[in-house]
Amino acid sequence: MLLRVENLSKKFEIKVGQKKLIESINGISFELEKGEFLALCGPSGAGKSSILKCIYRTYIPTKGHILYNSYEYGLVPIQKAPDWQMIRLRRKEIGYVSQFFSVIPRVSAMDIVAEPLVRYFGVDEKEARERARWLLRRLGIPSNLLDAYPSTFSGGEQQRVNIARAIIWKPRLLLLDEPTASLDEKSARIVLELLKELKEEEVGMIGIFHNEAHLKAIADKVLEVKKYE
Amino acid sequence: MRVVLRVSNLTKIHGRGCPECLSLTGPEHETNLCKRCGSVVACANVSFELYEGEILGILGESGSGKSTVIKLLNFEMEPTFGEAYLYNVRGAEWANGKNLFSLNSYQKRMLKNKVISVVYQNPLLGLNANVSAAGNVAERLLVSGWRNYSLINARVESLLEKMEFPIQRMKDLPKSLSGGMQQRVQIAKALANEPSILLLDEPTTGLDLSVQARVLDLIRKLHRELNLSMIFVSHDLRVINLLADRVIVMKLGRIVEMGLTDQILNDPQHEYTQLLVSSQL
Repeated sequence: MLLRVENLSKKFEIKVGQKKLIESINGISFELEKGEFLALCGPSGAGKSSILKCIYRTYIPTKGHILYNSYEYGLVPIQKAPDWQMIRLRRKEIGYVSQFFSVIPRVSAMDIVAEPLVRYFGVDEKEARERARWLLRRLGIPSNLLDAYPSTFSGGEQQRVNIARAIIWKPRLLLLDEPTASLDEKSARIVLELLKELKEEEVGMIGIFHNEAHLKAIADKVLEVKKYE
Repeated sequence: MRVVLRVSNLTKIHGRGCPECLSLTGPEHETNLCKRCGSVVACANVSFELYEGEILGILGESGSGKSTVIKLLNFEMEPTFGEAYLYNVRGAEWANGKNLFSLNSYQKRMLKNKVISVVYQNPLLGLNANVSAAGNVAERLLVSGWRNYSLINARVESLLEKMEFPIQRMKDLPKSLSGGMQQRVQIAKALANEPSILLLDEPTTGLDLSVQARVLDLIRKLHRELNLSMIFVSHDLRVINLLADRVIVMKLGRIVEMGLTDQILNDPQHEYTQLLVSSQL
């Protein structure tokens, strides 16, 4: 078992302006093994992204347990892990590809991708950049863009830089929020190919796809997330 | 991750204080003025840990007590009560396990010169107006025992270069430099003795946007290269988001929330933090 989610629920309590309680997800349970790909399905607003964000601890779950089997720490209850431990897990074990480009201004595409290797895995700068270049080229980023700032890139190019930064260090658990959403068919196929390679290397993954064909190409199992009523 | 600094129950009351100062002030009372004795509770029961090599953000508006915390840690004033401890910090092994606020003034000066440095919002607060940019940096080296003129010169020049300061202007007085350049000199001065902990109090506030961006880039670069542990105080969510792994939110002298930066910004728990996040442009 790499990850076990039990009865996970998330409500947002808005305390300013129009006070209200927003129910996001309720009673989600599943288990994930190493090298397994779980796809989350369901209508927009069903809370698929919220599940990923709870696992990454961008959201604090309201109820339930998220048990992650860490290489470094053994079983970690993510919902109550101390902040320093989450930071460490995010650097060394759990990767996340967000739906939107997470901006690091004024850093070149190649350095954005190479950075985690250099900072958290002690890889020599030259080698890290070489690996970043290789990965970005494989993802179809033209070589004249490697030294440019991604804030000027197209949505699809930014998406691929995002993916490259998350997979270059080969996390043990990878969370993917619509990784192929803004990609053309050719780039999407390359991304799926890379994800399949990660699967063979035992990376456990949870992903959200809107494209049925993409989902079928990679998923081992599917969790249907229903809109909370 | 290793703790380098642990702060516990740090409290500063301006005024004579009374037994009810703490129970009559804070966010739930919407004031930091004790209505019984008229004292101002600048900060109360502030506790946190700083980890090696991290940037810890402190977010809050004016009057939240965030600058008071910095001033206390830089020994600019005495706390009313509370403690702070360093753990296995290079050059301060002798201070291990001792409450920093009960050290004698010589020991405090040692820490200020070599271990904990501060960068203020107003560069002129951290600089001596009567000596040149280079002289300001050299001053800091002199107080920690540097004596060889050519070594000092070389060190000053390499520091200013690292701060991307235009070397041809290093003989100029601070007042003739632009705000961004002054800030670079102040940072060079703060880093002259290779401190382990850097406290930054709104270092980019008041600078033009493009200058602000370049100073932030510099701080990021220094953090990466020097493995400094930093406390970065700001009222600006975007700046905190860019730099900090963890953030403390303060209001009226109290910590109202503490957590991972992306969690605080995406799922704020406290009413005040929700207000801050929703007020973003």
